Amino acid sequence: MKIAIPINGGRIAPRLPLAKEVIIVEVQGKREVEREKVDISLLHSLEIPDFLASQGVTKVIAGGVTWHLQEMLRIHNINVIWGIMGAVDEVLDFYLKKGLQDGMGPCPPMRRRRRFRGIHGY
Amino acid sequence: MEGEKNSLNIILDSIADGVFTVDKEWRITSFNRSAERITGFSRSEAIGQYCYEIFRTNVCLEQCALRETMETKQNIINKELNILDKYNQEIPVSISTAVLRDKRGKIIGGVETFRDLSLIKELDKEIHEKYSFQDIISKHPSIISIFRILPDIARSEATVLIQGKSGTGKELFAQAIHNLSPRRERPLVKVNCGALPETLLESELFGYRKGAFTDAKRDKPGRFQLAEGGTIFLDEIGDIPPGIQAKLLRVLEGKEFEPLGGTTTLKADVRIVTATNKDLSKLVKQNQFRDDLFYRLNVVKVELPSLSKRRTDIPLLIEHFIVKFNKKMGKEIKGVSEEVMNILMNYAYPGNIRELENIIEHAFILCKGTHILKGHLPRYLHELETAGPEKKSIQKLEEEHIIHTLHTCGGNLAKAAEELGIHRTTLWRKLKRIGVS
Ligand SMILES: Nc1ncnc2c1ncn2[C@@H]1O[C@H](COP(=O)(O)OP(=O)(O)OP(=O)(O)O)[C@@H](O)[C@H]1O
Ligand SMILES: [Mg+2]
Repeated sequence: MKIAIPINGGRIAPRLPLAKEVIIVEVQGKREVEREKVDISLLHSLEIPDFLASQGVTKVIAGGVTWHLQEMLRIHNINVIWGIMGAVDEVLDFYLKKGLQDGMGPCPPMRRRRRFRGIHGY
Repeated sequence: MEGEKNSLNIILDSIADGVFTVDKEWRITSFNRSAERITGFSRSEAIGQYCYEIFRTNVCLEQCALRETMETKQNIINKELNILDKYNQEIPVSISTAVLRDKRGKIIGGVETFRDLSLIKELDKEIHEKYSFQDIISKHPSIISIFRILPDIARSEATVLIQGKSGTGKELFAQAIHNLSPRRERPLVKVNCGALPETLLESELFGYRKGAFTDAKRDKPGRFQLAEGGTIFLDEIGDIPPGIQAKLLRVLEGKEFEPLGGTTTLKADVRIVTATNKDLSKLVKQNQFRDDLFYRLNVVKVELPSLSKRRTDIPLLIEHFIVKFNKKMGKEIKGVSEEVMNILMNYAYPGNIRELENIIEHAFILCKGTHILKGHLPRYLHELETAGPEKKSIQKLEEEHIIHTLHTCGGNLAKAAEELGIHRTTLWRKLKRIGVS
């Protein structure tokens, strides 16, 4: 499964269509196997669903996403978890271990040692 | 000190506008009760969070007003934008910002107030809806005054002459008159008098009897008969030849007519609405149109101004057509860029509203995003100089788009121009402006 997360620096972007970048994370079971950072700054907001679908994305974890855009994503068979805040790595970790809910707000800390992710850690 | 802070909080909580403060790291340090109400976030949820992650406006990060204030020390007053509330609903707000200083005058953060505009926007919408009447959109005084008298015109049996240049909405008004009239359950029959040669037009209008001419194998009812009890709309009335003018005058005077080759006269219970893009009184002076017919037709005259004379309608019409084509083509286009608005506001529109409609339709086919951009417009509009300064953000977006396209086309100007849907010289001009050679 591929998950897209719009980002702003190392954190989840506040509002999807305004994010300049997304990371697309490939997940197998509960493990991240690959991640890629993609520039989406030139896409119109309505082009984003189509683009993500073309990348094989089926889930988006985001902060603000208007209903309108959510609907567009849904049409492209992309499931959205909205209303999430926090550092990308922590959110992803939490999602893989415990799952996330819409409108959850700040991602609670996992209280465990951070794994070293190498120099590209966002 | 504690007491001071408490009374400040009480004051803040009694304000109807949302108020919050941030520290220099953009973390929220206070959040009043109205802020809770408008955003849906509780104070405890908001405090300590980055302001942009709570408010999630359409301008956060890039064009943040609070950041601008902190950098320039200038207050910003009543800037309109929209936030997303906790439930991801867009809420229009008007914000004002100021810097926050400690007792010694050192900047310790910023304060922003925001007013919920949802209600005002709703009202706007209601007012806007008043600009529309029977699918006719306008807020121009001359059209509004027609709106006012249109129900009375419709209810009467008077013959109406609608005058206006091509594409100004003559047919739309004719339809509205019929729809508002007691004849609405009966047919509205349209005849384009300019499109047919004389003999054909005559038989179209009045019908013929079997044997009236060699091809007349049986009776054929005319449009007047088909419109029985309803309305006949005679379009391009200025084009009817003299012979038919005489016959038409008879219908108007005696409410009766004779089919071709017939001996009996038929009664016509038909309301007549006519339209022309010519100046009929001029045609009368030039002896091309009977004056007695003119006076009969000219009982109630509706003059539709050209679009170039009512430019304030252009944004309304654009919005109207966007809604229309979104529905028709299943798209979700939200609007036009400022540059496009600039072009459309300044264009002359020889084809009037129909031309504007065609322009939007053309753009719809090309537009894949949320907003119609210059490249989506028909080519003949690309070369138009736009008046007034373009908003920087859109200009910048365009620049980025151009450079990106040029890059993907390997620097090939002709290819890039085609990709962008603009003329090569336009691209060249733009590149010069951007400073790329
Ligand atoms: N005020 C208006 N609001 C919304 N749509 C309009 C308005 N005026 C015209 N239109 C639209 O513009 C197009 C042209 O209008 P219409 O056919 O009524 O013009 P016309 O004056 O009869 O033109 P012509 O002289 O070429 O026959 C139609 O699609 C019509 O729906
Ligand atoms: Mg017409």
